[in-house]
Amino acid sequence: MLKLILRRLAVLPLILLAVATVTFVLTEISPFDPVEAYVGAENNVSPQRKAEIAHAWGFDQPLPERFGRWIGNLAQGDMGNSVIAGGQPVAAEIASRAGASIALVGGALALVLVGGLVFGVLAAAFRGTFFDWLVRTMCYFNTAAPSFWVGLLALYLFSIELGWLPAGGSSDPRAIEAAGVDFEHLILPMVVLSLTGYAWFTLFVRNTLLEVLREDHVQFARAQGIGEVAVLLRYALPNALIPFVTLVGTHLAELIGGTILIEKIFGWPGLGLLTFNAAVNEDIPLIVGITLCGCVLVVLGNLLADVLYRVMDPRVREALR
Amino acid sequence: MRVAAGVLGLLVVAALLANVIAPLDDTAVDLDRVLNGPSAAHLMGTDEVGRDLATRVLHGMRVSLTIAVLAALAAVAFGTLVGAVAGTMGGRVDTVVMRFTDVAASQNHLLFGILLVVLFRPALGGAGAVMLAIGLTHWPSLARIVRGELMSVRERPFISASVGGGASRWRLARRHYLPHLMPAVGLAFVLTVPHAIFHESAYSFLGLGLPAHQASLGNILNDGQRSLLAGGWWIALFPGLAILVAAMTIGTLAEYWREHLHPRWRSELEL
Amino acid sequence: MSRGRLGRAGVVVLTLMLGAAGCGGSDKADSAAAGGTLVIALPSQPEDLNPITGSDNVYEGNQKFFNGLLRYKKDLSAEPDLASEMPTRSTDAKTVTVKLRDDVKFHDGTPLTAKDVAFTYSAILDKDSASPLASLLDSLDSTKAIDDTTVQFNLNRPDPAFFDKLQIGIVPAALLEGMDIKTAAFNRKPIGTGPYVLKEFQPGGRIVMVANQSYFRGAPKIKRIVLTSVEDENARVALLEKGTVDAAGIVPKLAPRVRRNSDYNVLEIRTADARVAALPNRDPVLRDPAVRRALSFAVDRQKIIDGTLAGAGEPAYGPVMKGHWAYSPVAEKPYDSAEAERLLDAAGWKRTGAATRTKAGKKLSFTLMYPPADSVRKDIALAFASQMKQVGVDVKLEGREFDVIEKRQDKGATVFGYGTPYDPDIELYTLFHSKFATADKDAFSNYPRTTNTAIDAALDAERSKLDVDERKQDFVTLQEELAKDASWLWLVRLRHVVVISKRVKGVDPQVEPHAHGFSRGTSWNLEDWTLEPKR
Repeated sequence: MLKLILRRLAVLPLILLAVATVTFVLTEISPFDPVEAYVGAENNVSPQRKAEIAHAWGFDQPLPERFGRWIGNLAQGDMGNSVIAGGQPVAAEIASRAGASIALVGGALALVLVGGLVFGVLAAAFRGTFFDWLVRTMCYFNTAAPSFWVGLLALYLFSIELGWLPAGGSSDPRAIEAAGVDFEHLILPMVVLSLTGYAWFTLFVRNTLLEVLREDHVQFARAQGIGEVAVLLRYALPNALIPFVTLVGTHLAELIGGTILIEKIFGWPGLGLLTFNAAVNEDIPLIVGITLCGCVLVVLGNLLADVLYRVMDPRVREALR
Repeated sequence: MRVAAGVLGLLVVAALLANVIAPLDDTAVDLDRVLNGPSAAHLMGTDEVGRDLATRVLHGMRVSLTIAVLAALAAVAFGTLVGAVAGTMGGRVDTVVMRFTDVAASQNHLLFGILLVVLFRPALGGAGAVMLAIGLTHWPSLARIVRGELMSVRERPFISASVGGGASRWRLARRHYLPHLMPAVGLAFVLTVPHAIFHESAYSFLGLGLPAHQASLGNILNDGQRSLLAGGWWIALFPGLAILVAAMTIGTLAEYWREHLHPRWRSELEL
Repeated sequence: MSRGRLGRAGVVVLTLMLGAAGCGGSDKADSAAAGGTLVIALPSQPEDLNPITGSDNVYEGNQKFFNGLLRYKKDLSAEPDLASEMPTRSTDAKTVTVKLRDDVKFHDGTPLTAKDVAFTYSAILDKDSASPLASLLDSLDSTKAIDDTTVQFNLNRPDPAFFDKLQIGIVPAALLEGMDIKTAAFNRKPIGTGPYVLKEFQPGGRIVMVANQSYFRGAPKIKRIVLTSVEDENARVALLEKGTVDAAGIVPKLAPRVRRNSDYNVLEIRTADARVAALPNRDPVLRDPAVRRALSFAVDRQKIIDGTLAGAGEPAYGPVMKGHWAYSPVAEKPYDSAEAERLLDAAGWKRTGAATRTKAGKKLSFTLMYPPADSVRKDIALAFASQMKQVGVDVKLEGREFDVIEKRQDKGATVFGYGTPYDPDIELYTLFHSKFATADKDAFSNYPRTTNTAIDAALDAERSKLDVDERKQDFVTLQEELAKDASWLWLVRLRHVVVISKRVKGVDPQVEPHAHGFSRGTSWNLEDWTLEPKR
């Protein structure tokens, strides 16, 4: 097990290098002009001045030099400076915004897991009834409906029309203590972010449970006269949980993308909103920095999933011995 | 099932005939009728410069479907290429290529796609950049499918027979591999389209997709966000419904197809 | 799991949630009692608080953390700020001398000296700073500190608009000397001389400023100001309605809704910010001035204002706004589509029925580009295109980012935003002079590539004089020639709609420049405002 973890972690820098190279190549072959993005438009800036700006930021050095310098910096954790955000270091920008996103993603993940388990089990228990049909239809709806659309409608309905919940932001701007994340502001974006994942997980748990319920050992338990609920929870569920847990790691990648849309709609000051602003301002160093961090997160998530899988599945544990 | 097929058929026909049913003029501005609610004259109301929303949603459907289909094709093309290389050459090449595919598969689509759109928008325009972004983020699952199918086909006796009979690689590809791949790739293509629709509308919603005055479902939704409080709830509702219906019907049909032909793909294609 | 256990768990969860929500409520009560916090919602958070790098607008870049040598009064005339008296010019007008006050301290307690002024202006001109203000200071050669309270500016030409460039915020040399200014931590932790001091900067969220108790003009009355960034238009209005936010700039469309709320004043502030279509002189269709002049008659400006701006605007016919000392009504021509059609016919472009006009087989058609991120520009472009259609002109719309527009300078017209309420020379010289029409110059100077000797003469004349009345004559001539040349089709001038709680006293907005959200034009005297307590 330890060997597995170490091996995977050892490969991580190589993966990062590959991703970094790919993004660098993409930046090079694209016709994107970083000076133009920095200067903005409607500024009477002469080409000579633009050349000066390019030199000041180091855009005009030859390719291999730039690549080497960039990779070298990356190795030391220096992801360059954001062109738009006051020239601040990209790494610091990301670090300062990560907390808000972690709260959001963490909450959403919890909702996805708990909701998915609860409703998946209930739907499987009451299969064929109206309740089951209702749950399934709502899930299909949620997987097909664009998350940002649902978010918009939710914001409009709950915050603006009904006024039950705050209309965006992560905490009360008027509060005396340092700005952070408070629960009242967290609810709506967290729920909206979890919807697509929750729907998918519910269906997955339900379908896996139904498959497992058809297996021999379950039939045997039933034959022994064990109640339906106990059969479900003690015999079927543990088997269904194994693949379920491994999917958590991969769902993390989905949630990262989801935050970009949700944070934009709700004005949540996390990495998603940072990505959106970076995209609008064409701040490439920042976007690339966030992409690389996302890559690390996803690889770690997959590693976690694999470890959990091995921990939980007794057959695999046996085989590994 | 039948309902889904019927609805989808209706949508596709309506979208294709959009130009005939209600020709679209992006500049058909009517500043006297800004933000009117649904009525007999305008079934879905008017938008913030007075254009009829139903026409725009219809054309938006056409544009979004077109871009989604083209983007899915791009994903299929690239994925098939990569999968074919891995599947036919095997050995070390296969390992390296599949590792690369694994890493690409684990990237978040929207995040990496945003980088691509921003970089290539000046050259390809909004629509082109979005197609490229969707194509370059959705190819991994297709590569895996193609590789899997190729690997299983290679072992079959009739392939050995062909090789024994002196068939060239090219002939093998054309007469045996390709026909075997077709249904698999076709299904994967169809399953990718709803994702492509979602992504196209997401990029446009963020302002990174098509030019804002053109009708695409994501653009209209973006306009809708601005008009929410001024009372224009219909601008936010109808394009979203259109995306929902399109995604649901295509998804249902594809699921039905998959359930009956390739049940073991369930984990592979839950994209 | 029995139903009973679930039920109890549910109650516990609910209580926790309500408790959390309740916690938020009690905090609100605390802060209101704490003596006045003004919360302003901005559409986006200012990313860079350093006046040298943070803004391309001399006046807006100050926030309230800094002062300039001069500042604007309500009527936009200049008065001394950090200076002790108005600056003096040498006889050849190439040297400007400024005497500083001797009682000003930075937020960290160090005294302001001429060295800081010299440092600020030199830093802007320094290539390594990549400052967006550098081209504005094109007339400045060098800045010297003669002694602790005297600064000397050496110009390369007599610049009548130079006093308008002395509003730039002054930074402490000691904190920035020798550093790479564009990446300095100072950009998020500013130290200036201004009435407010930065207390908290929450990235992506809010900025908290507290009153500078040792401000040289006396401490501001409102002790605490929060700038919170709310990108969504609707959310900003919702926050106003809930009372979470006391002031915000909103889109005109939402004004009627807020007007119904009796706790707020809804102000419509005039701005110099105009939307204008720049028509390239090298375009095959637009190269004929007669055609360009005709187009202006075909624009129903009031309709555009009512339809796309919900009435918050005024028609624009030229680069200078009505009410400005340099304004001339010579270009004002009412909407007359019949006249437009007559002029187009006379220029040889005929049409049958409602079709597009043609001349010698070619269609009267041109491309109009706009930056897609700006929805107001998009709406205006759409309205413009539809009005052109009425008179037989086919306008093809293209949404393009500015870096693409630059490369297609001669291939299409573009909707720009220009207009300054300050000295016109700052903006107009580079926009209209033929010097900037050559290929080696930036596309956004003289975009249409106009080479008109009369326009050049008027510009050179106004720039060489210092007397306001004499310059006014030159500006009148300039506006006449611009109207004849018609390379710039001025459409509308925006009005900013700002909502402020009735508890706030002392608001008296100036005319605003091109700005987003809460501009300096509204908050120029923020330090003199007072906040009545909530009832």
